[in-house]
Amino acid sequence: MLKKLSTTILLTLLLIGTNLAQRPLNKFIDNHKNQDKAVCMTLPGWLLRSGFNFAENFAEEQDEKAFLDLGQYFKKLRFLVIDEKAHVSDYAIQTLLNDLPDHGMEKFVSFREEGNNVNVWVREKDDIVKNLSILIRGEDNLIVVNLNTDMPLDALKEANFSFNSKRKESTNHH
Amino acid sequence: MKQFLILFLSFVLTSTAFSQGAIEKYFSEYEDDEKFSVVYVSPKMFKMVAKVLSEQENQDLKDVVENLDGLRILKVDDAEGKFYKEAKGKINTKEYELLMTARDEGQKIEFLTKESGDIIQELLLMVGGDEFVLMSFMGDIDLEKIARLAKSLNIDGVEHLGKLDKKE
Repeated sequence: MLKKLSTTILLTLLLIGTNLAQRPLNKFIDNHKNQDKAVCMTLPGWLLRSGFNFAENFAEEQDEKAFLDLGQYFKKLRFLVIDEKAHVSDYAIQTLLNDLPDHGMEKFVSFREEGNNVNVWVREKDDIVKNLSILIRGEDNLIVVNLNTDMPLDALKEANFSFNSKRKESTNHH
Repeated sequence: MKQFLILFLSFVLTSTAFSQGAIEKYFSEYEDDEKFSVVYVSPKMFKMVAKVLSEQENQDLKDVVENLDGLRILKVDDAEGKFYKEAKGKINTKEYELLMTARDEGQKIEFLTKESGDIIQELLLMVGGDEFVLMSFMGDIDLEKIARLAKSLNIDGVEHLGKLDKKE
């Protein structure tokens, strides 16, 4: 009885902990999804995996197949697109960016050019990417993407991505 | 004793802040300025990329990436050379040593390094001309490998690093 109770408490705390780690971005999406000109979607893992598996049947290049194969690790995707970014205050965006590190997210890469800002954040644990978040601020729109995954870095390694602009010859493993 | 320790720690912390240098301040000053294009690649990304690259990938790329602690790029139209002159004026010549200069199609390119012992901790690239580019690679840097790598990367401004090869 005691064992069951302690297991339940532990699981509950774990769930709460996971939720807390993702709160800023999900909270941001929840706060703005009902605004004018806002489109918000939440795609469960099974749907993502089905879509990627289906698309893999039509992929011709090995690189494409390797990329689509990564879909098996996706758990949930949420995105929010708002046209007319003026509906979202700079303060709200800055608060989000300030809160992310407190919830286990690490800044991955950011760039800004000609009025477009892109910020990519990642949460990784034991060489497994748990969360990837992208915030894109254009002149007239805002896009927020939050992807939960269980993607091991080894999977990316096997996908054999090339960061070289002179792309290596595609390998054919059929 | 306690007060002495607090004073000592405050002194150390303050010294550290000042030793961050003028170039750091320059980046901080302009990274929020909308006129500038800004790129920041975190140490996290380099570490993850190094893990993801397979042994079949360019070994130079893997070696370079593994040892990088960050990349920052600032770029702005600068036909009058104002930002270039300003950045040049802020370089602490005690911290940074001029490695190489080059002139190419109206652009002036300078490479500077910050060393600690035999290790290059920071490679600074400054380009003046119609555009001002300031690029900073931080980490444990091998110049030869970065020069070879630069020719294969497709990031605006990085191609100038290929000139490091010509130094030899």
